[in-house]
Amino acid sequence: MYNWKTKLWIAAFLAPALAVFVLFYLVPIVTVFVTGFTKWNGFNSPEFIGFDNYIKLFTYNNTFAISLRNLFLWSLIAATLHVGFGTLVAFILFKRPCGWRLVRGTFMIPNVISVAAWAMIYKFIFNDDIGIINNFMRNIGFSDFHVKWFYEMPAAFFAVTFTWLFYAVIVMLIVLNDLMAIPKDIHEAALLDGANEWQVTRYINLPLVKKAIGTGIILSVTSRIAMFEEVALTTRGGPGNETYNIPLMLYNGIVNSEYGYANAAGTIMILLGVAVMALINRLFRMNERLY
Amino acid sequence: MKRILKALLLLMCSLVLVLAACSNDKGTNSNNSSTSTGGSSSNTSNNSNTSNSGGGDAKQEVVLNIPHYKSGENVGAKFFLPQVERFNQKYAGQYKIVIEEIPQDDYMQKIKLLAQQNKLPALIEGGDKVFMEEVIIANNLFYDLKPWLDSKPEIKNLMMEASIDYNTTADGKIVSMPLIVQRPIGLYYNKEMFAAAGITKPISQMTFDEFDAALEALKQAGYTPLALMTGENAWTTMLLTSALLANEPGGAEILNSKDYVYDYTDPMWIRTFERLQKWFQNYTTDNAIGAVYADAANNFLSERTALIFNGTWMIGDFSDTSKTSEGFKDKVGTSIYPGGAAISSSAGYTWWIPSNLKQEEIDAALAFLEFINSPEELEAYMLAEGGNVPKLDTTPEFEAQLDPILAELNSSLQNDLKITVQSLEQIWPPQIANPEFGKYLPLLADGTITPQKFAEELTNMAQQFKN
Repeated sequence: MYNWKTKLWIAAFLAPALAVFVLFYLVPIVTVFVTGFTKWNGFNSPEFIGFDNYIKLFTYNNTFAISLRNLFLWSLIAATLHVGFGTLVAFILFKRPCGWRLVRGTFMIPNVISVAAWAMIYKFIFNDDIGIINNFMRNIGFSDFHVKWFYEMPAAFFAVTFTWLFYAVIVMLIVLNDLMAIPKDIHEAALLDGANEWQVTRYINLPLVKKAIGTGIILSVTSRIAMFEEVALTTRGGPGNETYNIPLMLYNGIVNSEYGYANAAGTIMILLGVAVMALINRLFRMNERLY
Repeated sequence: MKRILKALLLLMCSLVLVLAACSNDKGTNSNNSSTSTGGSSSNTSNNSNTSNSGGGDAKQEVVLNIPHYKSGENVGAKFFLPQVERFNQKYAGQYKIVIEEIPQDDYMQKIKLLAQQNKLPALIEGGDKVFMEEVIIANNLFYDLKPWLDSKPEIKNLMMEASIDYNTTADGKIVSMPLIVQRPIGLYYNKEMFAAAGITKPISQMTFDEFDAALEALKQAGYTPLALMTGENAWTTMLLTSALLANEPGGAEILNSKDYVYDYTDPMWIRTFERLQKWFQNYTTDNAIGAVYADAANNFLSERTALIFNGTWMIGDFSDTSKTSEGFKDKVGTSIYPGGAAISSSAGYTWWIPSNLKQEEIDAALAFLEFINSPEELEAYMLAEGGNVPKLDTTPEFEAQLDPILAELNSSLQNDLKITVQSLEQIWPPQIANPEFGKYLPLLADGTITPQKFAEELTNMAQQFKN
């Protein structure tokens, strides 16, 4: 057991971190939760209105249902294709093929460009008149190819998806880091036992980077929950409300001076984020020791 | 002992970091020449080149940093930025306005966020009804212009009575500068294309059925009639929709409503949207879906379309050879809308000043308002962007310099005007005006949804933020 002096030191060293946590995490989160039950335009005193903001969120039209549908589909794509692509690149780079450092560096580039800039670049890529995709299609013989990517369904959903789908550098780095941390003697033992490359990958590497993949999925899916710029700067949730998502509902609440409504949307985002983390933690048994 | 000292030092550093992160920026401001007060983004800075005439004290130039959309490529920048420069020259050493570029779509949203943070700039132009009435007026966040206007009869006497009424609160305060210049919005057409299509009847004397036939004639002659758009606030399309609604029985009354309209399911709205859908499908360019204002303007300026719906501020573009070909202006005709409708409004908020500014910042902001409403600047404004000031005796030079296209619009107004209506932008809640209308237009245009469904969706969206 610690004596009182040691406890005092522990408390003293914990205090700054606790202060930061309380000020920058706990207070805002509690504020979001509490004001989600109020009518508040940012200037008046919040007025308690029970679940009205949530009723408004869920029932005014089908926007919330569409937002949830989109979140589910984007999360599914993020957890499979996005994380899968990042993992694949990590496994390829782990073999250190010729030019792997260049590929690793190049893969990083999109991450240092702001999402807003990427969104604008994609608006040009998918432009019907001057965009490379439609022009490419027309040049290879589909002369009537005039898909208005961000303005018709279901093209808009896929166009928004493409703005982030292949930028999986974080996933790649996490998985590559775990791959490089696998003790060499495990690989050597497997090879001595006659395992081939595929078997080493399938039965040793993949299970040992399971947690990294789980972390990648958590990061990717929570990014989809909070995804704003990619939608706001391309489709603005359109056409109609087909690419709407919850952050856009939150944003609309803010610009309409409905902070209670916005914070109700924020509360749902927080709860979804927590649920995703709990689910992935359980699925990937993140708390178990691997070695 | 050494360990304890090290530990204490480490702890102190951590606390300093936390405190530094938590502290506001008041302390830092005191160390430089800028000050930030009242949440305003304006500041005062030392100007070592100026001094009081009688003494050696350094006089301070008041610098107002103003975010505004009339900058960069915005069509309004062409007149506004030089006007700001003229102001800065006139008040050199005393006041200076620095414009921070911001996209038009984001302007009001930025203002709302700055209001929430109590960091409003010293000059703001416009504001939607809900924001102004429920936030700015309700919380007294504006500087009352009435005493100042009462002391400036040469300005106040030019103002439109209806606009003064609109801007006056229940307790007699004036929220924003009442309008002086009327700028009816009509349309521009390519006279060569109209002649080639055999259209001779003036547009302002047509009914919308006749106008529909004229569009078909243009199409048959090989021209794309309309420069429409769905991006940004779908401006040109919104103006057309307003004109269509104005010609429906009861439409003008709706458009001239003083309050926001939240229900668009009445048959007159459906008929309006039906015609809009037809024209989108038959009489506009391939790139209209997703087009922003620049695309729509370019379609007209590059003679890809025969018509565009827009205000008089576009006239300068017709002779701008960086945007169109030499001599294009000679091909452009102008008119009010079919049915003798013109779009104009005196109901709206214009320039206003937030409360809680320093006195010198208020003085600078008022000096700017006085400057832009001086007779010389009003004439310069009308020459550049059109409009008229009913109560101003213009100079002979002004009359001589008046653009022939503006003169043509004035003639159309004098001869054929039957109704003046507000645009839909003024009666739609802000969320509908931008972005919802533009977001649902692609679905209406490509036939994914019917006009009825379009009306229902917009109504649903409008009801969501109805208080």
